[in-house]
Amino acid sequence: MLDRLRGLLTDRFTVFALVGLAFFGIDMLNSRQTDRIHINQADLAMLEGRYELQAGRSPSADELEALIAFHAREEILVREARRLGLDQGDVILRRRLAQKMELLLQDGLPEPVITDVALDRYYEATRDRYVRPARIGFRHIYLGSGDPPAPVEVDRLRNALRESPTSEAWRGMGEAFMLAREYAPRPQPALAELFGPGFAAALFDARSQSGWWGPIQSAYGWHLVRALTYEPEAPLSRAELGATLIEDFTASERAVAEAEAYDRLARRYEVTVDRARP
Amino acid sequence: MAFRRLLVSSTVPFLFALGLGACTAPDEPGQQAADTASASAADKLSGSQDAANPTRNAYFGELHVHTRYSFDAFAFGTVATPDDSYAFAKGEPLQHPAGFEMKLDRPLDFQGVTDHGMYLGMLPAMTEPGSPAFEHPMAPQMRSVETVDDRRSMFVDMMPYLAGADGTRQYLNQSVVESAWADIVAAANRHNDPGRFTTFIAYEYTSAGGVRDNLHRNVIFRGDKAPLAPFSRMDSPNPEDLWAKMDDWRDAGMDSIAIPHNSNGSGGRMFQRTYYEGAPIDPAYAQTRMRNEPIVEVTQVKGTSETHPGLSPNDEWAGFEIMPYKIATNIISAVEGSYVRDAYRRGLELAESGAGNPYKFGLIGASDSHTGAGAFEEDNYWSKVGLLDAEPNLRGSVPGGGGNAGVSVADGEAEAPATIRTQDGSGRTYRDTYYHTWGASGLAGVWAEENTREALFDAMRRKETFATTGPRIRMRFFAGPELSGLDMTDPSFLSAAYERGVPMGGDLYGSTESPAPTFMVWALRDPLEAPLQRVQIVKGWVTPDGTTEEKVFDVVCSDGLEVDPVTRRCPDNGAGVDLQTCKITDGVGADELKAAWQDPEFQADQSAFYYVRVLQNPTCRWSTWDSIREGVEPRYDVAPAIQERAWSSPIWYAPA
Repeated sequence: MLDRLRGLLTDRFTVFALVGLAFFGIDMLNSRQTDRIHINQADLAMLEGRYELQAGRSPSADELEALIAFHAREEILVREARRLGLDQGDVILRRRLAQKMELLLQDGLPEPVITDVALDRYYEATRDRYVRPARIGFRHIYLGSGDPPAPVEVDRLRNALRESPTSEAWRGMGEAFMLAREYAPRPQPALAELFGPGFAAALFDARSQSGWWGPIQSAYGWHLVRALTYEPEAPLSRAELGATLIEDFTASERAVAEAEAYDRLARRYEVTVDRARP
Repeated sequence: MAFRRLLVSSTVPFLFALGLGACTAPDEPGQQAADTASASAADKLSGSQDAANPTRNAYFGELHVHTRYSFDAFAFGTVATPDDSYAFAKGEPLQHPAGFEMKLDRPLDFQGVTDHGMYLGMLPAMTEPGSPAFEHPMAPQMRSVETVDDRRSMFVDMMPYLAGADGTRQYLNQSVVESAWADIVAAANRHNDPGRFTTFIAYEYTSAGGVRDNLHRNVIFRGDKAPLAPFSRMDSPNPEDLWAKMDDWRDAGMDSIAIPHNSNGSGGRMFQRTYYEGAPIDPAYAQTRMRNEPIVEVTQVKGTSETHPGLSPNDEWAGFEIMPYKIATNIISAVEGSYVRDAYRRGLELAESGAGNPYKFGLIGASDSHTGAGAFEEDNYWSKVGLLDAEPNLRGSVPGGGGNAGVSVADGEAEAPATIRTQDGSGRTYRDTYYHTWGASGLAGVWAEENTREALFDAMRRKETFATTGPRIRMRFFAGPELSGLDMTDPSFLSAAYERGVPMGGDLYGSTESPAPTFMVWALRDPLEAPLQRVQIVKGWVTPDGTTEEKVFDVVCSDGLEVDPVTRRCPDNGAGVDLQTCKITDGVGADELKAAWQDPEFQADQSAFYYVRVLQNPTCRWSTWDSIREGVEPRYDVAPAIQERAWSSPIWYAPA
């Protein structure tokens, strides 16, 4: 806390204070005429309302008097501070004002109008963002870890598989595997997470291979694999995107409107910077 | 919805203006929202839906992460929303308060955002003109925080309000809490995508007993409905009152479980032998607790709570990521009653004495990150308290000047920031925080038929869960007298094991005619991390005099090595790590380890618990990665390398 006070006592502040005190002294000498602070009905309602929000009830008569006294005291201090120019160069005050203005700008913006035509246009303009990566779904038979399985053993399995290509016999072949034996279509990175990058790459490289093939090596050992489905990378249709497209469109429209509102203000200003350093 | 979005998006630039987003380039808020939305759509549509697996899949997730709605996270500079956090869990990048990008190396399968129930949403609301919280006595201080020390002070100065000290309660705006909670519930429901990514409605009940004895737990709801507001420490600091409330909710159709965490910082109170008010535990307590708290978070950023060298002097791996302090203090926490292995033993002792077993819980891990984003990888670590530990020197892993950036509170008083500490004779000095005792941990592993709320929640209730320190190590654990002779390589092994034995989290009951149980353990490495070194079974049992003992058995070793029958240990597999580069020894370690095991000391008349611990080959700790990147020696008083690990929920044996 003390540190923070010390931080405030910059040279500039000290100068302001001294200048201010000088003015104040002159004012005193001139026996400045009394300022008037009028607390009207609206002010009273605001004070009571604020109190209610915090305390959950209306202030008592005594409490209201205290609120009024506090409000008056605050007003006096604010006016005196302004008189001394303390509102100039105050970072917090500046940010509060900027924030209020920003809210005001946003509040005044119209809600985006969502029409099919507008959505079409937005979809066409941004469709490269909406892509489904290529995916492979597959089955595998685990042949254990360590050295590659003997070719004789692999041939025996492949012959057995060829004889009954549609049956569920494959589920009973090879060794026990801790995870699943059949995987729905997944993109390559998702397969790399499950089986290791080498396995995922091998499966994608040989995506057009039909029937059971392998063995290929994963992070866990050796597998015979069979691709079930390969879906190449494809743009996502408007129907597939559903509500997402509307959400994205709305957000984008709002962002554009906010930027335009700011631009209209900014056009009234010219910003110059003196970059020369002494 | 539009109003909410406006509030959120309008707050962001304000915070940046206030310096909360120092060093960050504030994106155009509307654009940011659009990017997140489209990314999650692509993610959704590139996912896949596997058929339900009757022998269950391992799903990895996060059940402990904070966003801007947590009072402390917001004070630490976090502006991430629950939506941002869910997008992060699905694999999207998220901006750290200090400006860098946080991204997982792969997405999670599930997540529950768990913001602090007390003062939920109040701090962000303090910066929103028009919110009743804007008038809070602490609001001006919140709006003017600039430095790391300001943030620390904000956290400390909030304490009386959070504790509901005299004269502070009227400042809590329930409408603000309810509005934040409604947003959290809506975000969870919005991101729940059955079969692909599961979310849970959740929050943290942040209570303490005694002198800052941590009693925190996360409440996880099963369905898509939740009460109007969380039950928080403002309602009662006594967890037994939380359980009563959870029972009420359950009766009203809103099932939930509570998951205690950071028992290490509980000063022995998390697993004590008495009620909160001091009466001895009885069967009613045990039943109520187990109904509401079937699992415990054993590892997270603020340390691992499996066991402590003081409790397990014969366990060479007991001194792992020990965080010795009470939470957010530098007061040393008592070890008895603060670690889960000790709790399992106490549970057996209590049950033996007729008081019931309140400590028959399963295990998960989680991060407890306060940035909206869990840091699970040693080489991709941002700790957890936002701007307070964003840089290596702030978290004490590399030398750095300045005062104490940590939060030090004792007896509710802020201690003067401690000055710098010098120690190892090298002349290097470090910030005196406790962040160097924190770690890149952990994850929840859940065995469920499919990735849905119902399947995952039910698995947690039956304790078919495991915890890891970050890597996606998968493990199976079955036990039963009928398992003997089962071929672990047979493709039908898993269905046979489920049929004839019990999985992790289960109960075995002896009978006069049944033989000793067979335990079957099976561990699979993380394909993107170091290989496995060994699998152990930790046993605790009741002795004839009603006390308990514990023992660690290595049951299977990597590289074809055999367990020494006398020491019960695997020989060294020679795995090491180069501390200059973090490169690990090639060609040693296992992709998969499995074994059938029988307890050589099994006594049919002794109650016991058995759980599995899987150890990876050694790898660099996050602090070593920090020091390598800064080109300095690793700090002298932290372990330069660790063995990442995973723990199963126990299987309990009870005599007939």
